[in-house]
Amino acid sequence: MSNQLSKEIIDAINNPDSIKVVATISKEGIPHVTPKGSLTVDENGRIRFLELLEKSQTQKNLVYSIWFDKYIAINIITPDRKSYLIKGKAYKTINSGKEFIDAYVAVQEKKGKDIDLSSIWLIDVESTSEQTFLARREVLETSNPYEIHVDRLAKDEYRYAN
Amino acid sequence: MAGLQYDQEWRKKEESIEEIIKKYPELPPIAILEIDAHRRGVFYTDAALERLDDSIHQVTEYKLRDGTFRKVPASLTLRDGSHLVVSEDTTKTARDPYLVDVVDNKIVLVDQGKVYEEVSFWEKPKFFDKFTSRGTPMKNVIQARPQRYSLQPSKFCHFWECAKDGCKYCSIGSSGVKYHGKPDDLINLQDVEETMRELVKEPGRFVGVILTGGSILSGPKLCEDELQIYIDVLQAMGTVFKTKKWPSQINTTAFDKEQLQRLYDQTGLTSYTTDLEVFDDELYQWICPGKAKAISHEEWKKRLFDAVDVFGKGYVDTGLVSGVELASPNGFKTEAEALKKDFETAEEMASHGVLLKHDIWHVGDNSIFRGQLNPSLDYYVQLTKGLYEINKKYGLSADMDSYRKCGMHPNLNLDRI
Repeated sequence: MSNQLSKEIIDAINNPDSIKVVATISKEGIPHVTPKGSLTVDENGRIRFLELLEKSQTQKNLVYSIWFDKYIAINIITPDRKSYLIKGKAYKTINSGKEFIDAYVAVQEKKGKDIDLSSIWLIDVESTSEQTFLARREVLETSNPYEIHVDRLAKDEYRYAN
Repeated sequence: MAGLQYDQEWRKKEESIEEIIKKYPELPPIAILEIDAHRRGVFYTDAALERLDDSIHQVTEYKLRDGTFRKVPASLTLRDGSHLVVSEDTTKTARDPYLVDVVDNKIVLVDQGKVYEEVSFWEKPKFFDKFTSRGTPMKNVIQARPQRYSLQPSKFCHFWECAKDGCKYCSIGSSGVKYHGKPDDLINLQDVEETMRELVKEPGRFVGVILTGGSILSGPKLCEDELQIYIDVLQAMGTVFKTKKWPSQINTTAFDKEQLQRLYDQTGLTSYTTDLEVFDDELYQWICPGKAKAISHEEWKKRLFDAVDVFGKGYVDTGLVSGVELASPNGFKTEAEALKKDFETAEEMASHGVLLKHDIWHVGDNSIFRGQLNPSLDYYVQLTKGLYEINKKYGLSADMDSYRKCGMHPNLNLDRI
């Protein structure tokens, strides 16, 4: 069962002007990051995106995730520079049947008849967090009040003294 | 006909799937489940069959003992996009099959009440509902799996001319005997062309084809007529493609080098398979007597090496029917002995550039080996892992016969990460 995504994050994901990247790891533990403009949220609350190339590293790493229950990460950056991190695992890949063929036709309508489609990927979301700098700073400095350079705590008369 | 006897005690005699998954953490659990489902077969509950819609799904119909027909899905796709190639009627087993049931509104594989995996039914291609101008249903001309189509150029296998010469595990050969001398033994080329024209209209449906059928030994030299039929069919298929070569595979009797060269030069064929079937010479002679009389084990291997010269490394493979080398009374007495010999021959083949695969032995009710029991899950996992590692060691890619292009070869299905 996929974790519930907030409306704010769903809107960020479904905004075509957002930047969307997917990070996966290989069986050797090597990270791989790639943009995924096709990323959306499906009716069951899962992340859905397309992999065009059957032999790509992302494709291999997503198979690794579904086979061995490994995490993947997704980052969404909205046009107003808000950033959201989503962690999850590959739930399913679709490479045949009506849903696949509809996606294949749509890809070719958008990108041209010489473009292939390997698979549709569905991702189960396990956790989300906002990664916008100001939001993260507030969370982290509140929970770790003494992880700070001491000059920031000094009285102004000493901090800014000549 | 002697059928398999169900063994109520079978679970006590072998390790469970949970134990095997724990024993081989380097293999994906879903791949082990796939192997076990191929080994044990599946059975569809009424709830699962209620989800079957023959306007959408591929359906198989088979005759029950009471003379009625049962309609079931052609087969299943797993969450990782790989395909089980199992149907109820061909997977009768001495062990309990997995149940295909509906739980929490999902179609799932179940064993002893435990849900193992979500599955989906195969959908049929659009051409399946059409007919050629000769009135032939197109689904009888070209068959389909989710991403692959297939043709059977000939139905009767000449090794079954004399029943004792047929391969002892083979159900296809024995059921093909009824086509001997019949006009519909060979595929019609006009039907092929017309069906191909319909097939390529559907976007995103297929990534490859395999042609395979009964062996034809006749002609000016051995298998010359078989070669010519494959050339004719491939040329008929090629009329719909704009490129000289297109993703394709045939699985035939082992042709000699001159025949292989003609096949490569005169058609769009890209890859070649001829199955050695049994990786031990003496057992090959016992299990495949007709083949052994026509082409010795050594000659079959040589022809595979020649095929690598013609088609290239990574474009030729061979398989064994895994488990038949343990058949009684003449087979290996232990699984360890069988695996040792299998890996020895596998190394020899791979060192010459021949990709290796195995097909899990389904003990068919109409095969000569009916009533026997296929090996343990542990044997199948060891074989899968071993062949995968040998292919890797020799730099052999599984692409020509991958999970998309076949689905029945567990070791090749692993070549995705």
